[in-house]
Amino acid sequence: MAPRYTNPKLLEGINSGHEHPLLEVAKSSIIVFALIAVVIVGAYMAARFAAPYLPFSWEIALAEKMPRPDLGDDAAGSRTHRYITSLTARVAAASDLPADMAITVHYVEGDTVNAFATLGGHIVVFEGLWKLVDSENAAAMLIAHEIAHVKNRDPVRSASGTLFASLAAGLMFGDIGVANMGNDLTALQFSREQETQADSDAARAVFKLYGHLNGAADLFNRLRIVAKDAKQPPAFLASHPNLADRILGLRRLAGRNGWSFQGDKHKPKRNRRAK
Amino acid sequence: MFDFDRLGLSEALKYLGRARNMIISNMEEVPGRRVVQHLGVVQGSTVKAKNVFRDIGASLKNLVGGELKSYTDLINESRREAMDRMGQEAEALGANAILNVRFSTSTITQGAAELLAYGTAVIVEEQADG
Amino acid sequence: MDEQSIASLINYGGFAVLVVLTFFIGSVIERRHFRRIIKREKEVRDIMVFAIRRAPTDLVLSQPKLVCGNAVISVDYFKTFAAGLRGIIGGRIGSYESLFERARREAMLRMKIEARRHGGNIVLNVKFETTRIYSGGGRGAISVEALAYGTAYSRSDDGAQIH
Repeated sequence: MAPRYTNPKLLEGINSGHEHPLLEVAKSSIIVFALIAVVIVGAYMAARFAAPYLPFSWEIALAEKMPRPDLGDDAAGSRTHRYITSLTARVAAASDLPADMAITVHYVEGDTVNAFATLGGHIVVFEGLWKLVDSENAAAMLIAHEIAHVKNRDPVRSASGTLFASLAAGLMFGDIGVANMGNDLTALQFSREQETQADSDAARAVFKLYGHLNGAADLFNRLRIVAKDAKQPPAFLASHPNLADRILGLRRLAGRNGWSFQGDKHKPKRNRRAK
Repeated sequence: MFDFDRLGLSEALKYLGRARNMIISNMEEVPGRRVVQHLGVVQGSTVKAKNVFRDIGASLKNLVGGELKSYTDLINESRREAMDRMGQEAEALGANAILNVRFSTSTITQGAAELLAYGTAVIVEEQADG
Repeated sequence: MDEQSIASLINYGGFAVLVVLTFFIGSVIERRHFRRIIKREKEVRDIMVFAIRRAPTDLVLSQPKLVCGNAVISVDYFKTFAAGLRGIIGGRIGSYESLFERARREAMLRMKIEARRHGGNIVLNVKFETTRIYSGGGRGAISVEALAYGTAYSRSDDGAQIH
């Protein structure tokens, strides 16, 4: 029997048209965005995890690569700056810093109520906050807190998290936004745990320096009063946990370690205005 | 087999006439005929570049989709030319058929493509028994 | 809003508008093309096509004639975008599948039309070839050329029927 030759009609929709194109795009968009998010968050977490293990000299090198933030009037060499520098040296000595970790303190004039630690062991204290300091003990607590951030590598952790996240984003989207990172370095965000740790390290250093913690909580109390009066909370508070919690934390810590709040407060040598 | 430079008009016409009778097929045999001689592979190819004017339309079509008629025609035309050249090669060998013909296209750069046609040149004869 | 964010809004906003717009226009063009293909395929149903290499001995066939048909079909901007997105995660690019199907069926159709023009009613040893063609605007926009070719004969045998 000879084969018969026929061409029956073919069924439509076998080779295409399985999924609506919009549905397809929606699905792949979601996956792509999820992937991007995973990469950026992954870079952020990995950098934050790895940063504290980098040598401090790398942190200094990184800080030098960054554009210099514009802070206003740097009162380097003023009387107050000299005083803060010498106090910082004493607090640093009491903070058990690693041998290669050098602290540089900057004093900036102006009404900004703030102080922060940033990359490369730099600490910046603003006049607005300094005016609230009424004893050397309170000043030492403030400086010790910022030194503790440097010692715990908090600035490099935050900065490299942001840096690597934006690098990852830059690699994926084709433009790298390191240019405007300079000013971010003045507003590095630390976690509540990092702040609490810095407070407790600072208290330890202050106790080592003076033998008591009298005056250590004074600045917190002063800030509470300022914050109540001000329409806008001071910059320092925006980046730090609740003051009441911090005072309470400090008291608990002192209680646990048997650190006394009784002792002589020292007069700060600041109150002659540099201006 | 042909020296084209010395071909006269009548020979040229004869050549053209014969070229039109060339059997071109992509099968291995011709029904009702048998291959009496194999003459080897013949091929014809053209390399064509698209031009700017076609491209303007194409740019627009790349937005909304659809057939690029000018490209279809350009490629079609070029493929015929490649086939024509393949036919000329076969003709020059004295073949009267090209069997097992295939096409191949390769895009060389953004704007140019090579179109190739090749097959086996043969001489076929009417089968005695039909 | 600063200048930069306005510029990027125009940039990405324009892009989004283009994607949406070309999706609608492209879909309309594609649907119309498919309708036209189906209609014309009916008209050439009597031309039979087979992908067999040897001429059947039970058919009386005329002299062979190589016939081919081709079509260059361009993607639309939406498809380019969809494929780009797919390219990151992998998987089936449905919007390109329809593109290839359009091109191939159009090419086959034209091959059949050419076969009929030469008096053929059966095309044997049908082969397809697909080539990517860079066209126009660049930026990953491509077109595909589908080629269908085969050897056309006119059959004169009642062994072959159309169903």
